[in-house]
Amino acid sequence: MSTTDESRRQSPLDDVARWLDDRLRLAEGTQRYWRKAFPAHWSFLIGEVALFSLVVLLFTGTFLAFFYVPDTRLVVYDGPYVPLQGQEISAAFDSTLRLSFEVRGGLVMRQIHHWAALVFVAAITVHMLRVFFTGAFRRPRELNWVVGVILLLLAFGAGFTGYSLPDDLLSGTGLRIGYSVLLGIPFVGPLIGFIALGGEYPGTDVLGRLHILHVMLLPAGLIGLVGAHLAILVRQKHTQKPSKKATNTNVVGEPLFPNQTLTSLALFAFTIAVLAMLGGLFEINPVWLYGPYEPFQVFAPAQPDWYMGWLEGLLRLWPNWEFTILGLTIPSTLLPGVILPGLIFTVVGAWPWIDARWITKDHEEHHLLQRPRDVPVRTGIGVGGFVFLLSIFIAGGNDVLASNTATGLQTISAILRVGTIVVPLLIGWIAYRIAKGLKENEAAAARATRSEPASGAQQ
Amino acid sequence: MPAAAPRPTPDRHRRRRALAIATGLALLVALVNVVFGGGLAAAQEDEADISSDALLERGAQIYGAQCALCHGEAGRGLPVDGPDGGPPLIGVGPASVDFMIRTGRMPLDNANERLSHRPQQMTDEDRRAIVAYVTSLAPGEGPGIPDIEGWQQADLSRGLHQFTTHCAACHGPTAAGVAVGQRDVSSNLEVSTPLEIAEAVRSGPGVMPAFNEEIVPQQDLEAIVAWVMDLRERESPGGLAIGRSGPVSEGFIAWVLGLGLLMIVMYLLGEKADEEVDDHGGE
Amino acid sequence: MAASDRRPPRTPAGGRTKADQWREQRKREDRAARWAAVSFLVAIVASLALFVVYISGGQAQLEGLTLFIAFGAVGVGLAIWVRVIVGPEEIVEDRYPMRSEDADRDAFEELYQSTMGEVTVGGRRRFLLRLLTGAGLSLGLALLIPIRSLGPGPRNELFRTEWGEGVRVVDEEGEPLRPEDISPDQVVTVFPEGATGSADSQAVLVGLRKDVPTDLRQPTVEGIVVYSKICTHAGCPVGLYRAAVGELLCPCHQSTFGVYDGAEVLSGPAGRPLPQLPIEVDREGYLVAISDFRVPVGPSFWNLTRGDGA
Repeated sequence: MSTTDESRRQSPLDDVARWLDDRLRLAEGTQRYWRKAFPAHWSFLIGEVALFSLVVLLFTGTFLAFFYVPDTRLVVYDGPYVPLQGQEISAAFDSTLRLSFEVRGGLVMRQIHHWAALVFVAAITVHMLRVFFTGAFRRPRELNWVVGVILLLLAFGAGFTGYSLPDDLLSGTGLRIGYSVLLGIPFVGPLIGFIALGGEYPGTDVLGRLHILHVMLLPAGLIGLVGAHLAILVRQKHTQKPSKKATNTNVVGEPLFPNQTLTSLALFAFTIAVLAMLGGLFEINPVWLYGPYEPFQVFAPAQPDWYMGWLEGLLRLWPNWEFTILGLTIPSTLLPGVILPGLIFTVVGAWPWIDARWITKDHEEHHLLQRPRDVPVRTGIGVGGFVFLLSIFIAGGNDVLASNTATGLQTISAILRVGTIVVPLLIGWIAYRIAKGLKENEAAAARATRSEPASGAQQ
Repeated sequence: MPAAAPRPTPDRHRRRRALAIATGLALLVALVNVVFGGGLAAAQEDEADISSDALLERGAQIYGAQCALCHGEAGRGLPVDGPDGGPPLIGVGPASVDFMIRTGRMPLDNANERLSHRPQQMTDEDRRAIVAYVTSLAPGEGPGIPDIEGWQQADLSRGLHQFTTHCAACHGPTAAGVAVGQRDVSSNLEVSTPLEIAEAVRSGPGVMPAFNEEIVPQQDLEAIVAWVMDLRERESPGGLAIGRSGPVSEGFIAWVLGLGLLMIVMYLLGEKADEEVDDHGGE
Repeated sequence: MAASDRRPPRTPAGGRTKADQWREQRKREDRAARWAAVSFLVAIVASLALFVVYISGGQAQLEGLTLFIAFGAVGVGLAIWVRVIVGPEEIVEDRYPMRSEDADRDAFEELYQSTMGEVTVGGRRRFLLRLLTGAGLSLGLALLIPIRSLGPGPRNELFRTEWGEGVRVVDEEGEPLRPEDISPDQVVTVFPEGATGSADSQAVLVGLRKDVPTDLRQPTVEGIVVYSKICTHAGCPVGLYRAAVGELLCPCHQSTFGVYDGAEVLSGPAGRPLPQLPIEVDREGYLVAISDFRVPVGPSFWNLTRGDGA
């Protein structure tokens, strides 16, 4: 150390560090975290991809926000896109077209933003599956699981408000469905719907409100909760796979500097690279083909972005049960549109407690990960639940599926209605049996190795 | 345009193929244009020839041989629920007959076969003869073969708007077609010629509704044709648009190419399971 | 905190000396360093290329591609750096249970009790604290009020549209329609005159076939029927008409309605038929509405059957 002291003093960076430390007393804290241990298994990186996608979303979104106009007032389009020239379109749609065709770099930014949103939610999903099936949500991490579930909800919200902004025909259709589902809530539905839009559909203020939600409130929530998510993570330290070295009272891994820092930077660069590749080479949401939103126009197939597909699928599959009891009408959208999604999110959010109370009956603190086979019941329920979500997700594209498989539309829906109930139960049960079988085999093998030397000694 | 399953061609990917295919396509387009020019000429000829006795006689002959089995004597039709039953053709108009034969949907080999877009199954001459014959069964009734000579000068902006108002609900924003019922898939308009599109709009083949002059005036019809033809050639400024089937293909790409690639990267960057000694059982 | 220990060197294979191994290691690192350097160079070139693309007018695909190459190359360089040049390193860090030590908990509880005492002890202080809590809750309620300003409460909007007695049926261009304009199997989106494009008044007019029996709920003009175009399920425009079978189909969730049967739901998730508009022909021969829709249009809501009280 002492040999290099002289040369070090020359670096201007050193001067900055010293200046800062003089004022903020940083050396002690930084020293503590400089070599923090990060378990290096690759599956721990999935959450980072979500984080990096969010960073990309914030940067590209800021760029887009400089150009987007959240206004439904009509203007006459006079830009370079011939098939819309002379048409009366909303200022919002006009600004989206301007971003796509006139602002240099605008199209690639818009496309990267949209792709990043799709990948963001996909990464959250896989991250969540990892945490679920390895039992990483167990005490003391229940709180962070809940924060994660809220983050997922915010991501849905950010996605929905985002793809509603361009005011093209597809986005308007999504908004119409969302409003209709709100309208169906007993007693307060119409009031909530009117408050949301500033009056009866289509309202005049909706884009301005979606815009504020999308560029301010939801991102603030996302950033704040991601901060909390990471702070809790640092406080509680990482979980890890059990091994000879890794126990419940230590963390084995790579140090924050240099290994984890470089790895994360590399992954950050790769995340940007992949999103840029998608944004540059693959067209997404070509609103200029869809045309401006007119309340009386529509097209088929009309799907939401993928992460809303399961909600769409529930709406498509649900039977047309609608009742009027004592003058109170229960619309057929209430259960699949409000109650069932609410129930699903409640169960998912409360899972750490459900798991501890009824499945593992284990309320102790854990820092070692489990394998899916270690808790067959959880694995069975998880696989079943996932397959359920997957099948209602598929139902969200029943018309596309029908045309691509040359099967009747109603046939597909009928199959999915039954399949959505039967298949998850079946596959969940199979997963449970497999996990249980693996666990029992292992236990038997362990007993055999333990008893062998003992029997040898007796002889 | 008309609902017909299964889809005419499974090929839904269009933009940006290999250069060779693109050139091929361009040639095909040129060819289509030539054929289309011919088609127009033919359409005009039809009107001139409709009263020609020789043509009528020939039409009656072919009708008897190829159509009467299902559509009955003199276009009176046979019960559709019976074997080989076909709808009556009296008064359907020239556009309908011309469209059905031109797109190879008719004649069918047997009545149970489903209508699908095929190459024309007879000569142009024979087609004209049948059209003339069927038209003569109820002269002046039903939509005539539309004249859309002006489509190349039509207003694209009007076309997009009218297409979205009248057509996109079934054919989709990119005219790619989608399931619109238990047995029906709206046609992918990729392979339709301008005249076929116009004939379908006027006559409403299959389960498709018809649109008369009052609903879709001539000018709008040409605009719609112009937009569909433009859509087909239109570059995708955003890049590859796999199938142009909207959020379904987008979600697929996001998972496979987006997260899929990143998962590979993560796997290479991180520690693998085989890098450490597996030692479970303490739990 | 962390006891760092590098992974033990692998056992030397077949008679190679430590010096050999060291040289090999150096060679490997040199090679990796070269690749990393190439990667970073590629990143520099790609970034410059992006500049050129941008300055010369921009092109989405090239922009995406250069960005991809630039960031991808940085990623590759960093990956080589961390995986080969830095190499794997494993450290072990201690972990403590999350629960605080008992002594800390007790100490804090004592501190809390003693300091809270200063606030709550004594009747007057407790009384003040209660009032403060009350003030906080009331303020919270008061702050919720602005939300109510966001929109008017529903009055009778959900029960009314722009249709009414004698209002002409016009197409999207605002042109009034006559019965003779409509032939069988025609479908056209219509509006009340003066409200073209209206979201809640949009309706779909269908030309009926003469030979198919009908079962309609409202008076209509022969050969023509008009239904609300808003799906009673989730409010999408019921835009698809399967003329041959007389079915209107909603493209969003595939509810189908029988046009000849008063828009009865044939399949799909919609809970009630599309409301039918009662129509007649006025003295000048144009189609007009006899009245507004007799039931609310669009998706169902809780007081649907109660009427608007007017």
